[in-house]
Amino acid sequence: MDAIFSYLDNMFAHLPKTEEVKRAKSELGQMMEDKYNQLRAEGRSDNEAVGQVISEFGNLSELAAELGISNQYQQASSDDNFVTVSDAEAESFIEKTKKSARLIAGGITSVLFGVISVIFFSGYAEGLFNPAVLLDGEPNKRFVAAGIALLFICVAFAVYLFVMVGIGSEKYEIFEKKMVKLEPHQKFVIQEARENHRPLLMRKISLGVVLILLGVAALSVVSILNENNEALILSAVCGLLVVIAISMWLFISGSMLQSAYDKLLNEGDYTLERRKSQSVMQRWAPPYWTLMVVGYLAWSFITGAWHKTWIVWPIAGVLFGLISAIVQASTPNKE
Amino acid sequence: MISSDVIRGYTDIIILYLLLDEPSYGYEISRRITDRSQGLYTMKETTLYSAFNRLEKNGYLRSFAGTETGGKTRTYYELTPQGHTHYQLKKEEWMVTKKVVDQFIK
Repeated sequence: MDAIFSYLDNMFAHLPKTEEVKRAKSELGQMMEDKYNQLRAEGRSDNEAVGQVISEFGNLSELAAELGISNQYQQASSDDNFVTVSDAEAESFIEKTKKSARLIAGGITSVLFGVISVIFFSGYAEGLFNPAVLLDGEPNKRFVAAGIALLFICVAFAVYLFVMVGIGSEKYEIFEKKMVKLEPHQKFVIQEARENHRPLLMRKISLGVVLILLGVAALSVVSILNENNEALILSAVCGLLVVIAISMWLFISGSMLQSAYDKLLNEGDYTLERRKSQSVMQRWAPPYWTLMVVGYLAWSFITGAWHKTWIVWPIAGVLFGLISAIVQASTPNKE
Repeated sequence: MISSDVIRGYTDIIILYLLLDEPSYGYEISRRITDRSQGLYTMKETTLYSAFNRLEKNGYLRSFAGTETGGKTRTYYELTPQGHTHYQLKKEEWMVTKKVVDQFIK
């Protein structure tokens, strides 16, 4: 019930407090309260009732002429730095984001699976798990080849998934660059959605961090206690990668949705200043990661030490985080 | 569900009709619109209020503070004589409109 009045307050917050505006607000509030009470009496939950009342409220711009506030609506829509968005667009943007998050997380999982198989198979070829595979004491090249083939299949599948992310996302690119001008009711609905999502996001991030820490701890313990058991260490590395893949799902699904809300609300990383530093990183990320992939493949193919070269990835990840943080910190923040 | 664009020209006649016999208030009118249209059309609150405002300014409605049996004070709306005339005019206009549009429906 309080949600309805805070919604209404929010909608009217920027309007001049003339008699007509006050009257409109109190009349609308009365109708909404009546509808809410009726819905509750019919057995709807608080959330359902609030949701229906707000969705059936309409749009204040409809009252612009009556309330003598039409010039405010025109002013807002003619500003060049802002884009307006319809309810349906905002909703489909959120849906597309959820879908993209699944595709990206799926692609990353696929790449990690490829890396796992290449590490596992090259270790296997070295006879770490079963000395019988060695050919005259030499690594069995067939297993190395199988691992590399699997890696390429997984990478190809990941590329397919990443390309799918781009399809249909062109029309939302504008939200990356420009500030979004929301109607008060849209702002309210999106803020609500973001607040409702926050606990889930926190759970996902903490679970992901705990999982990765456990994986790293397991790997450290195993490599300290069993310094000479390469097979066990390799298994722990693969285990860590599995855990990283799971954490990536959690991080990506949570944070992409969160930043979609932030984009629409121009908050968090999407205030005017942050948008500028963000776009610097967005320009640098693709060449950076391409370079890492080329480096990883070159190093691995030249040395043939696939079970050692994975070290590129944790280092590259930390380095990327570091660079992003520096870029963000060095961008003036006028807040 | 009918879109609000399609029905825009007829919000006035809907509201005037519901006030023909007795005065009523915002939510009750809104509920009767949903009920009478068997849930096919729900008038948004802003649409309804904007119509009240416009109809009152044109002299078709008069508003007064009234108290329901439950004890709540609400703004009631009642039809003025001009409102009755306006309803008749809108009714005839719709009859003709319907007849014309029907010529193009098979």
